[in-house]
Amino acid sequence: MIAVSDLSSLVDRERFAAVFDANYEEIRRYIGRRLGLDVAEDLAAETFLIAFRRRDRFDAARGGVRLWLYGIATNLIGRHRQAEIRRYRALARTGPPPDDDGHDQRVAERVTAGVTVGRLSGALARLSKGERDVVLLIAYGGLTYEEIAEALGVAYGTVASRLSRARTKLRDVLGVEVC
Amino acid sequence: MNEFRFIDDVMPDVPLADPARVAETRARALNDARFSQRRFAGRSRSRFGWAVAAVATATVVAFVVTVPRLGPDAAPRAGGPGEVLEAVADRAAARPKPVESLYWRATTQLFLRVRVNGYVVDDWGRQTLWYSPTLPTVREWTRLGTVPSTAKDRAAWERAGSPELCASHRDCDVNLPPIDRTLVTPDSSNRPARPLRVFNVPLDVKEVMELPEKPEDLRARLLTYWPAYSKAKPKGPDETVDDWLWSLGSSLLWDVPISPGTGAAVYRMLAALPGVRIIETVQGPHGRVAIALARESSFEGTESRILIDPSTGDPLGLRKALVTARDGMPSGTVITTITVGKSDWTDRSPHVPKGCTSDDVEKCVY
Repeated sequence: MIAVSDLSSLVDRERFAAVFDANYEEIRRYIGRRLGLDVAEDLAAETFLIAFRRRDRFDAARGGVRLWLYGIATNLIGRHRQAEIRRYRALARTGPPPDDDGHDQRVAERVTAGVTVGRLSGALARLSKGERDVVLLIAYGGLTYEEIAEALGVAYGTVASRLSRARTKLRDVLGVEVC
Repeated sequence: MNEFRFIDDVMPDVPLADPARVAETRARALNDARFSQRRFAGRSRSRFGWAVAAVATATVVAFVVTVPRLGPDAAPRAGGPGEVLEAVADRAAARPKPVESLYWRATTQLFLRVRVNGYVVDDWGRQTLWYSPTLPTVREWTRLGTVPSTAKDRAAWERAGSPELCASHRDCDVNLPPIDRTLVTPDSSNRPARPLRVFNVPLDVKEVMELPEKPEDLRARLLTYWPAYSKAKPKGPDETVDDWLWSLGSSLLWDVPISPGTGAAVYRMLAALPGVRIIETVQGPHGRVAIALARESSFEGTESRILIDPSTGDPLGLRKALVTARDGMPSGTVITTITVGKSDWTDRSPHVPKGCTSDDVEKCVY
């Protein structure tokens, strides 16, 4: 990714274009995996518009533009929390078709602990919004704890406690250790 | 290490954005930014911004009644297996064409079940290939684990003195990283003209990207590689040209940057091979619904299934099982799976440890 991370990137339209080009696909993908493609493009566009409108609030000391965009996108996703949960519940109802070598398939996928889309979707639906945000910012965005704290504007300890609760819930629902 | 990588691996991904749609969105965003820039001192939200919000709200309402792309409901409805495959191939051809960048990065997870030294082991690994139009190829192999396959195999392994486990008859130290570590194998800096190895066929990135998009033309092109391959292949059981086309075609699907149209042509070419069955609904990786192309290989004594996402046309992987019992494993035993991970163009470079070269693999583990 092109490193476009300073305040000057957001002060005019041309530089805003560079920020868009460097980050749009990643932000769209993050939103799309949480809410589906139907809304991903509109919400991704809105993420950038909000960033541009609020560029006076951007604080480079709290991380780069990418983290700021992830924070805005996560807040927008929060407005569609019910849609996200409905999506997970629909995926959870989609059981795998009967198959004669299902056991071998589960063994082959042991590194992912045989976790299926259906089971994992059910588990994600049971997390609180805050817990889901931190888990999916790690899973899909590859953000560190510190980066999540910066992106969401919360304390490091808050990120750590949400993750701790999320691990417990995922372990209980999936029956695998998440560490 | 990303502790929630399994979520990234398991949950459905979204296809790349259509470049035309991105251009539209970009123009809309920049246009609104222009309005916003004029009003920046006065208003926090532009007229256009309300329009975007309204569109977003409308699409959310639509989303409520939209069935997710995954699952049986998303499978194409058609008369028979052939028509189903045609519909899936059409979807594959309609996927956006990826935009070329520095490296093509393709990740697959591999599972092998193999008899070594008197017992059967299950072995997991992850491969990432980094192909570039201009830079040397880099291959990464991460060992994820090896265990005796069954309690009986474990007992046999313990009787043998519990030697280090790996999926090789030879010394496990030879060119294998420790568990959970990654071996990086960079090609020589003298980049060959055809650096890709697609089922041992040397190809160039540009050549791969420009492979034909009609199945008959694709088959004809691939067959031009057969004489050199068949001359060079190791002596062993007779591998027919159809066996080879099947293996080469499947490798093209997940290892290299073929165009969406070529991907669809691969499906159609493989479906037309003698003896290939189309199975409309099977279980794919991570419980996903898949359509399968299935083919028995007489020379291997196996049946392999290429698994395809029916809602997008994306390849999901391959599952190979024994048709006849062998090496103490009953017929039906799954002996190989390939699960397709991320494959995309990226402007990032692979991590090559300091001092690691094609001549000094000792320094190539991280």
